[in-house]
Formats: sequence, C-alpha cells, structure tokens
Amino acid sequence: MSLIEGSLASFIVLLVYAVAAWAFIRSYQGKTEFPIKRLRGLDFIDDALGRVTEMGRPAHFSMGSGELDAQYFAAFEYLKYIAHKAARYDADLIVTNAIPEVQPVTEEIVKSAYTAEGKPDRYKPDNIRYVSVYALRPAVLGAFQREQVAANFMLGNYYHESVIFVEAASSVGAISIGGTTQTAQIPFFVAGADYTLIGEEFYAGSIALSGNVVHFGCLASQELGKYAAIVLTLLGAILATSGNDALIQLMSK
Amino acid sequence: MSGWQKLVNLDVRILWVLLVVALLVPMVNPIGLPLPMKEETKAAFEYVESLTPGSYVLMSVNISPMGEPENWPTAIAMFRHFMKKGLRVILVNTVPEGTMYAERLWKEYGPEGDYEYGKDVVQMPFRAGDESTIASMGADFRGLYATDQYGTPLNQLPIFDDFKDIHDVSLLTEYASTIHPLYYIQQLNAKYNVPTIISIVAVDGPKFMNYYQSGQIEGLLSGVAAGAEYELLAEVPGKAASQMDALALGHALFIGAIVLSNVAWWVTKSKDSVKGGTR
Amino acid sequence: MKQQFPVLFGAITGLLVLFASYFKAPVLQSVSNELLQWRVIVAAFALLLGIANISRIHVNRVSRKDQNTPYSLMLLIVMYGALILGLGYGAQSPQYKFIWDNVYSSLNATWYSTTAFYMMSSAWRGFRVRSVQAGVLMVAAIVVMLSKVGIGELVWSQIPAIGNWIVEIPNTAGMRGILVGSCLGAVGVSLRIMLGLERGHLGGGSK
Repeated sequence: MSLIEGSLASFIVLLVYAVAAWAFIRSYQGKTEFPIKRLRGLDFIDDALGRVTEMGRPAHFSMGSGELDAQYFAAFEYLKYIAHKAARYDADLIVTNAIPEVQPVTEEIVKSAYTAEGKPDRYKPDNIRYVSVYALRPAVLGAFQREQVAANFMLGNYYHESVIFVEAASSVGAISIGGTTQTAQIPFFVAGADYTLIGEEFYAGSIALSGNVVHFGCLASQELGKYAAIVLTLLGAILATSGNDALIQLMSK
Repeated sequence: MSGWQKLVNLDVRILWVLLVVALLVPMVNPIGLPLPMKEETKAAFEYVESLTPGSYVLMSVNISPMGEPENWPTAIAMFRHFMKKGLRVILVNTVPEGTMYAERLWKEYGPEGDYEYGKDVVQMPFRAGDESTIASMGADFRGLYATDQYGTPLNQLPIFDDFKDIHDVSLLTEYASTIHPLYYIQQLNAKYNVPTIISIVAVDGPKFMNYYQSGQIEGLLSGVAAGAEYELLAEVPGKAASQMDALALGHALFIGAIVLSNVAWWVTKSKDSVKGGTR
Repeated sequence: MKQQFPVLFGAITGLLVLFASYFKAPVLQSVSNELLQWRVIVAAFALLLGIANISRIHVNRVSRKDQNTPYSLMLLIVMYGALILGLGYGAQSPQYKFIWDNVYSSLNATWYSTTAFYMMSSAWRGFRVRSVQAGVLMVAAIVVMLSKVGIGELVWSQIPAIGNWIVEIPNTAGMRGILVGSCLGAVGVSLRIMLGLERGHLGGGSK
C-alpha cells in the first residue's frame, strides 16, 4: 500500500491538523473555561429569542437550500441551542428544510430539546417541515406572512434565498441573523440581516455554543492551521515572485 | 414631509415597475451597447480550440429553470463549438432538472453538427448524491453508469469504444447555479487533473475567480455575459447577446437606486440633526 | 446503542473513503467506491422521507379543515399527480414533460426571478453609506457593476479594466481568506465525524 501520487502534502497537512487537534483536546480536558472571544452574533441570537418570547410570535430557522455538507453539522449546533432556548421560554420554533436527509435530524434535535427542557407537549411535529429545494422560498415566505415570525435564523448553506429571506423578514418586522460560508451570499446577509456570521465565524460560533472540549480542541487546531496558511501564502508569494517554484513543487508532492 | 423624506419612504413597488421596464424595453428594442470581452472567457475558448478532434468532453449540465437564463446560452454556445471541433461529448447531470436540459442539448442542437447519438454524443442518467456521485465518476465511471439515459449498456455505444475511465476525459465543463462546480473541482479536477471550465451564475463568479487565477481551471464563464462573449468568439450567434442590453440597463437602475437612496438618506439625516432629530 | 451505531458507522465509512483517496490499495478503492454508490442510493431513499413528511403535515391540515385546507389539498393532489405520471408514463413521456414545461419550469424560473425584485428593495432600503468603509464598498460595487456591462465602457473607457482589477485582486484576496478559514472549519467538522467525536446531529448533544 503506497500513497497516491500528488497526495503526500495534503496527507501530511491533515495529519498535523489531527495531531494538533488531539494535543489541544488533551490540554483542554477538565477545563470549563476556553480561550475564545465571545462572538456578538451569539448575543444577537439570545436577543432575538427574547424578542420572540416578548412578542408571542414564533421563530423561524432554516439551513438554506444548499447541498448537505459540513455547514449543516455546524448549523445543527445552532439549532440545538435555539431549540433549547425556545423550549425554555415556551416559544414556538418553525424549522423549514430543503433537503430530505436533514429532516429526521432536525426533528430529533428539536424534539430532544423540548423534552430535555421538560416540555415535550410544546413540541409540534408540524413545525418541522420538509419542502424540497425549489419550494423553500415560497414556503418560508408563506410562513413569515401567515405565522408572523419575530425572528429569522438563516444559518447554513445558503444560495440566492438569502436576499429573499432577509427582505421578507424585514417586511414582517422580524429580526434576522445570517451565517454561512457561501462567499457569494455573505454580501446579501451583511446588507440585509441584523447580524452576520462570516465564513469561519460560522463554525466558531457553533463550537462556542456547543461548549464541547473536543470542538474547542478542533477550533484551536483550526486557528493554528490559519497561521500556517498565512505563513505559507506569504512564503509562496515571495518565492513565486522571485521565480522560485520550490514551494509549489513541495505542495504538489 | 419633504421631497427627500418621501423618497426615503418610497414604495418599493415603484422601483419594481421601473425594473420590469428597464429589462423589457431593450429586449424589444435592442440598443446595441458594446460587449466587454473578459480574459477568462477567451481562455476557455482558446482551450477548446486547442483540443484535437475526437477528444472526450464531459459536459455536466446541472442547469435548472432558475439558472436557465444565465447558464443555458453558454451551454448551447459551447456544445455548438464542441461540434465544430468534432469533440465527443458525454452529458451528465447531478441535479434532476439537468436531465431535460441535457436531452434538449443533443436533440435540438445535435443535428446542426450532424452529431449522431451514441457515436458522437451520449446522455448519462441522473444520479442523486451530489459530491459522492461526482467522486464516483472519477473512481469508477462505468460502475456508476451501467447504461445510458435510455437503458443501453455502455459497451453497446460506440462513443465509449476508446473510453476507459476519467483519465480519458480531455475537458470537463460544468454549468450550474449551485455549489456543484466546487465538487467537480475537488473530486475530478484536483484529484485526477481533469482540465476544467466552469460556467456559473454571475453572483458566484468572484468565488471561482480564485481557481482561474491560480491556474487550476482553464476558463471561467460567469453569467449570461460570458455566454454572449463565447457566442461571439465561437461564431455561434445565440440567445445570450440579445440579453446584454437588458442586463446593462438593469445594472444602471440598481446603481441609480443605490446612489439616489443614499443621497436622500444623507439629506434627511442632516436635516434631522440640524433640527435636533433622533436619527 | 441508538447513538453509538450511527457514530461508529459514520466513522468507519468516513475513514475508509478518506484513506482511499490517499492510498493505492485495490481493496480499499473498491470498498470506497461501493460506499460512494451507497450514498447515491441513500440520497434517493431520503426523498421518500421527505414525501412522507410533506404527506403527514398536509394530510393533518386537510383533516383539521382550517382556512389553509384547500392549499394543502392542492399540494397533495399536485405532488401525487406528478409522481403517478412520472412513474406510470416515465420522466421522458409527453405527459410528464407537459407538467415540466408548463408548470414546474415556469414556477421555478418565476421564483428565481423574484430575487431581482428583492435585490432592488435591498439596494434601495438596505445599503446605507454609514462609514468611510461603506463608501469605499459602494464605489467599488458601482465600478464592478459598470465594468460587467457595456454601459461602463461608454461612461469611461478605463472602467472595465478597473472593475476587472477590483474583482481579480482585492476581491480574490478577500475570497481566498474566507475560503481558507471556511475550509479549515469544514475539515474540523469532517475530522470530528470521522473520529466519532461529532454527535450534534444526533439530537442528544455532543457534550
């Protein structure tokens, strides 16, 4: 068994990443405080849920119409946090899903949250809706209008529905929080939503909410990876500008 | 309420009507505005030009009705260019709607280049699974597709006579309004070094510019404007060029709206602050 | 067991597919290929879950007989009607294509087109130049928009070149930064799944 040609560099990067994550997890074991700054977006989530409770109107959560990828796993942490809070405050939470694979997952998360908060009777299965990719936009807009949502959480893999949802939420007076790593949609969130979690902030926020030592270990490793990327980029730019392709050759191995 | 304040509180439906007018009028009465040619479109054209007749092109038609106005003219222009060059085209799709567009492509435009189904062009059936399906195309193409769209086994189709696996593909082109191009870049371009050209809706263009600039992909066709440019380069007049004036006026209206609304906002804001307003 | 099995299954399959993309081993490759085909099949079956959920919600609504009953009824008729036509006559049949061309395509394109109207409202109401940075952003946005269409060249011949420079240099630099950060985050999530450390999707929590 040998390595496939051209995959050595990426395999080493992956190994270093994994070992660093493991070392950080070990160093964080037993700790309850982690060195992470509080993201303002997370305070906004609390404020939005407070508003939902005060107004007696439901909150809406959607993960967008994008394909199932890592963003969904981060979004599940947000959903879990929001569902727990909604259950605690006796608020209704509507979840609209565009892809079928996540339907049972979201049902389970919301149901578990209401049960854990001692309010299983407040859980409404009809509020966790699968509508298919292209029906997501009309279905969510319909829910905004009919059910007069007070908070609109758009956290996940978003496409052009981002601009539609923020504008529609604003028209019913709902507060909007957006978070995605889809670079094309970030400008729409920034322009229209009340708060936006940009790129890696989206993953960091989900980790902060999870309060999980394993997640924090991975986040620290991610941070280290970022510094390594900055150093490699600078080095690569200097070498390439001076006509030296040693780093490119090394990374292609 | 002052005129500026009225402007700030303008009913947006007025703007919507203006938008419809700005888009419709040039479609009925073309203005003939100049068409700027982008380097990444030229690079895509030149790469196709460099291919030898009989080369395999994997054409991923991940078009849906929502992406049709932006991607479809490009797909048509490129398919017609492929026929001019005598390339063998394998049509695939990983979004269900793509099936209809792939079929329209070879049925409506194939006769123009005397392309024979099964010999010069073939359509594979839709497979769900997004990135995993694309990974399977690379790992085991014949395992993923036992038959073509119409149930004919691949070994009975002459187009596959010289096709063993993904390494035989000389060019991969992807037409999409979603994240699928990224999956193709990750699973087929980066892993198997399949030369790739991406056609994407304009809003996603800047995202894929990374891959073009770094030399990872051969060309980038962003939005209907790229379709119009490609039609011009390949000398295959089509739908895209006729939409360019409407696109230009639409852009002008957006720019006007941003500037005017900000001027109105600034004027009302400064008046409020003079009066001791709360803004 | 309810949580352990999916975690274990996810970890084993994830690691197998990951190693198959790094190591040359015929057995590993064929197992990995097989697993990728399974994913394709599972994705198709997931659609059935979706149909079951839609049916449950709307059958409930129809039985409640409230003001939304006619809409729910219409949804069920259209969904099952299209399904029966597709299964009975095939997706290439004229009957199914009639629905595709005259209903699905038109509705789908209409919904996408509405984005332009929402963007228009957003341009009018949402984009306010509150700071110098926002001002720079607005100027850059206007130049890029002008550079993409013929009007830019008419305004000033250098606009296409400046617009392309903005897209290719500062924009690409920013996009790369976000992309690298996002990819590292995605690698973190994937690693946790493959090592059986991610349980957020199982409802019970990852703590």
